[in-house]
Amino acid sequence: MNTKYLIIALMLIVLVSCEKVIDIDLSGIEPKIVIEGIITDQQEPYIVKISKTNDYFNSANYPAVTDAMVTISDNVGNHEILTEISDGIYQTSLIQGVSGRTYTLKVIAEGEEYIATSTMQEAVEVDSISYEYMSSNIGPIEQGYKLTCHYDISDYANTYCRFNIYCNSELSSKYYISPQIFDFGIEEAFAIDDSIRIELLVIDKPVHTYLLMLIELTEDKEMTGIPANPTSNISNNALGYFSACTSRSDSIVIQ
Amino acid sequence: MRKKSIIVLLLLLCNILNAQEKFTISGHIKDAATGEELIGATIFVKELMTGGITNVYGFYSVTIPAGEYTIEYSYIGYETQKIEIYLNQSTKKNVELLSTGISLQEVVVTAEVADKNVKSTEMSVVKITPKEIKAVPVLFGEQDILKTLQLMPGVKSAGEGSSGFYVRGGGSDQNLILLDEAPVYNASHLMGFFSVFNSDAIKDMKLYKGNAPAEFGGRLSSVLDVKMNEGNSKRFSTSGGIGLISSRLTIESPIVKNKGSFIITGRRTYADLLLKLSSDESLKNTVLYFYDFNMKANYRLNQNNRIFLSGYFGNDVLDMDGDMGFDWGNTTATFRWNHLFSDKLFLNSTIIYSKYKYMIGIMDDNIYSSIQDYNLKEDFQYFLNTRNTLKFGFNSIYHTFSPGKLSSDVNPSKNKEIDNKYALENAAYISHSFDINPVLKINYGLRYSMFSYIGAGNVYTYNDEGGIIDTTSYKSGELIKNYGGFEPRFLVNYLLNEKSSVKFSYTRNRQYIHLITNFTSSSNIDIWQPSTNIVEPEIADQLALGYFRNLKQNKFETSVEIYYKNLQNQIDIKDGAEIIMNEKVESELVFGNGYSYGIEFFLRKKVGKLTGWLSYTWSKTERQFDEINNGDFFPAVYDRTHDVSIVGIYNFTKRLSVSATWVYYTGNAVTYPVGRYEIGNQIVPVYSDRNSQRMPDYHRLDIGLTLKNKKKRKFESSWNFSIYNVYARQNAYTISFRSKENSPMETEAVQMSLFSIVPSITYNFKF
Repeated sequence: MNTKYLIIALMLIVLVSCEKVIDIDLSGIEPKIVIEGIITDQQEPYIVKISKTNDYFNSANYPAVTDAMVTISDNVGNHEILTEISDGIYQTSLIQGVSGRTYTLKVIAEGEEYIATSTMQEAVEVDSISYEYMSSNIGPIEQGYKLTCHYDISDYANTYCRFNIYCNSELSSKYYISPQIFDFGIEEAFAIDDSIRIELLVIDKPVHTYLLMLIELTEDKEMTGIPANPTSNISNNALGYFSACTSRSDSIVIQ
Repeated sequence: MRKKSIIVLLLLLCNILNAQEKFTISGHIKDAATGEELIGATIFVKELMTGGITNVYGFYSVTIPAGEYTIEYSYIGYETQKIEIYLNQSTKKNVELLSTGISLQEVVVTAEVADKNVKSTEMSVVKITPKEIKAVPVLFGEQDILKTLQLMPGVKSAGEGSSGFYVRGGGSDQNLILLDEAPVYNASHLMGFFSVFNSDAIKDMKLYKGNAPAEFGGRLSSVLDVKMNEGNSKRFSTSGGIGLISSRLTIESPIVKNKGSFIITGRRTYADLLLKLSSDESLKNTVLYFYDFNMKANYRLNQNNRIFLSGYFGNDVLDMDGDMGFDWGNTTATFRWNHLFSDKLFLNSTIIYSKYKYMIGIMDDNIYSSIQDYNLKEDFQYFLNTRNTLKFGFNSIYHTFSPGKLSSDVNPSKNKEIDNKYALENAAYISHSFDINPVLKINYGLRYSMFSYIGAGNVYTYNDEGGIIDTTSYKSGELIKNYGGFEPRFLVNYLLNEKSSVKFSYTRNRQYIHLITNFTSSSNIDIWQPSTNIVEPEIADQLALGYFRNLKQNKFETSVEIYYKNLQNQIDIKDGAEIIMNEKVESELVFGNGYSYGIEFFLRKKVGKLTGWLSYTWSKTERQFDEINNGDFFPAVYDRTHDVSIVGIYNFTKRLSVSATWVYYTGNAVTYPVGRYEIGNQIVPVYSDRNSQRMPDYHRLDIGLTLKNKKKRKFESSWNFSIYNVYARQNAYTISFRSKENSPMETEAVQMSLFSIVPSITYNFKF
């Protein structure tokens, strides 16, 4: 359904274009805090990662934020202070995600306070996973086995899904979120003997919006639309997101 | 006692006024060679130092006391004609003027015509004649009114090679583009590199930069009023041109000599034929072209009745090896009836049909979308006397919006259709043009517009997160939401002396339909959205003040205009919103405000061996939305601080002319990444505040040469050579960022430029 590819293709055809690498002075910004936290209804522990941004043309590592005060609480009175297990990585040990509850993440780092809330949605079961061989390269899809995840949602309009794809136990770095219309087809190509696990996370709308924008940023670099930082559900201009989500999964081996 | 004497006095006065009986001289002014009616030709009564001008149908009416007069009929580019008349009864006088032919150089400059710039009750108006359009060099040698228009003050190009334009800080959907009164919803062909206007079919065009008279309405920024040629009513003739990527042909002929005529103009590009030469299989199998037709016929039933039928049909076709396809096009049809109730009261009735549609095909899926209008207009013009003209009328439009229909050839379960939306847009207006005294003229009017969003359809209300909380179903024709309001228009012209004047205007415009697009440049994937229970009408108020002065016996026109425009209920889409095939598209919109102000300088030389103009605009345009940029004002993408155009045309001989155009403007406001961070296992850029960065400045020089061959009997022909971007400036079309090939962790900025130096050649003929 992506019309953007069409436009890019068109421009390439029509235009006698010419590319060159240029120098741009992108005056660096003050480093900003980046928070990524997920809590599910599966077995704890849950992790919250805190780091900082770098200058755009700087490829160095992203500095971890240590010694922060990180707490997660829910709307029925549970409350926990997370332990820093390594630089910038904070972990729970008690709190358990339950569908229907609203969770609040609070981070105090370097004198600033950041707060986010997220509501855990009702879980959606994965019915099955099917695959099919695609022989030719068409548009952005490579040749190989293509997966489709089947599930049943009663309220399409208000249910937002995210998919984590594990191929031979390795998590794909690509983000997948449902278009809210169809069964979900994965754009990656897989090979015979690949063992695939698909984790279906039901997320809330703010996290869906965040991930949608994140995907636009990371995958459609050439686009002419106006780029913007994903709208985070964390306060105080922090980057990143906090997601409370239900999780179900299913596996298949391609034969 | 006192009352009585006043009444007597009044009666006396009336007697005096009536003592000199008044008569009307009226008729049409035409081109002697083709019979085309001339728009805006001047009628000047020498003895009274007064007169009038022809309306858009070439009709004039001047009411003056009985007497003996010398009347001059004139029009720029035509020889002035003088007639002596003894007026003792109302008289019809049709006049045919002789074109001075090749160029503007031999025009006898008559003060009455050439000082229109200073004396007319018009400001913030751009007029370009087809002759000027033909002289200006353009990309691929394709003359185009929209591209020539972009060289005028206050009008900005939407980008390299694009026919899209922005007027005084307004968006591209805030321009009302009329082709023989029919709205054209998307005026571009071939991704914007051509406009839908074939300059062979165009007779006249006028752009009002936000202060159109009361008979126009519906868009905030501008009205571009384009009139098609009517066809030669004297003899059969053919003309055409053969260019590098397109050819065109025009046939015109009388239906009944001097009573009616028709014209058909067609155009076809063949850019894709060049692709056939490519060695790449998929390029070879790519289809890419457009064609369009303009047709017009008119017939004079009798002295008082005349009918016109005109139409446009255009279609763009793109198909990439069967995988992806894209078709789009406009269709318009206009039927008009001019009726003279008397020699003073003119009525034009119009029925209009207009449609813009597109279809995108990706693999086995097709998305179809369109907007369609039926439109009825009644426009009266009452020529009271030489000092007063009244215009009044009404307009009714029935809109049908089809936002999207998805059909799949292989998987019918994907099929989905978003409900059509319907609306009725009505307006009534009255305006009065009044010459208070020889130095003070005003033109004021009032328009009342009304918009009714009607069923059938489902209407949603949303919560803050964009989820549907309520759905109401409406039956066909049932009123869902009504909007309406007054739109006052006012313009005053004060003549400082014979050579200069000061003008001031105020205008309010309301816009009820909105273009939703997430592309910054024109993409043809347009979704028009009516005002609904959620989307409110856009409103603009514009103030403009101008100083107009002509120099050297009107050889030079100069003007300076300052404007300020305030915009309400502007629309933008939320970051990351999906607008295609989204029935909840209204929940993806944000609403805010904006303003634009600027100063425009213009110097134009219309006569002599050297003609052309110089235009400079300084402006600032900002928008504000609560949801974007923390609610702070930010520059609009097309906020251009400086915009310069210089156009020169030099006629060496009657057969040889050269021309040059130079443009310079500040780069678009853009959003760049200013930092990076890691989330998940991905590296993500951090972006600056919305539009806080700038693209590099744009500049370019084009030159052209036109050589007319010797005329053989009736056969005329010419060669046109042009070079686009003479000094091969690499202007930035886009700037993007990517990982370095040999060091993926590092990023580099890449600038893409479209056209380096582009030479072209066109052969034009006429017989």
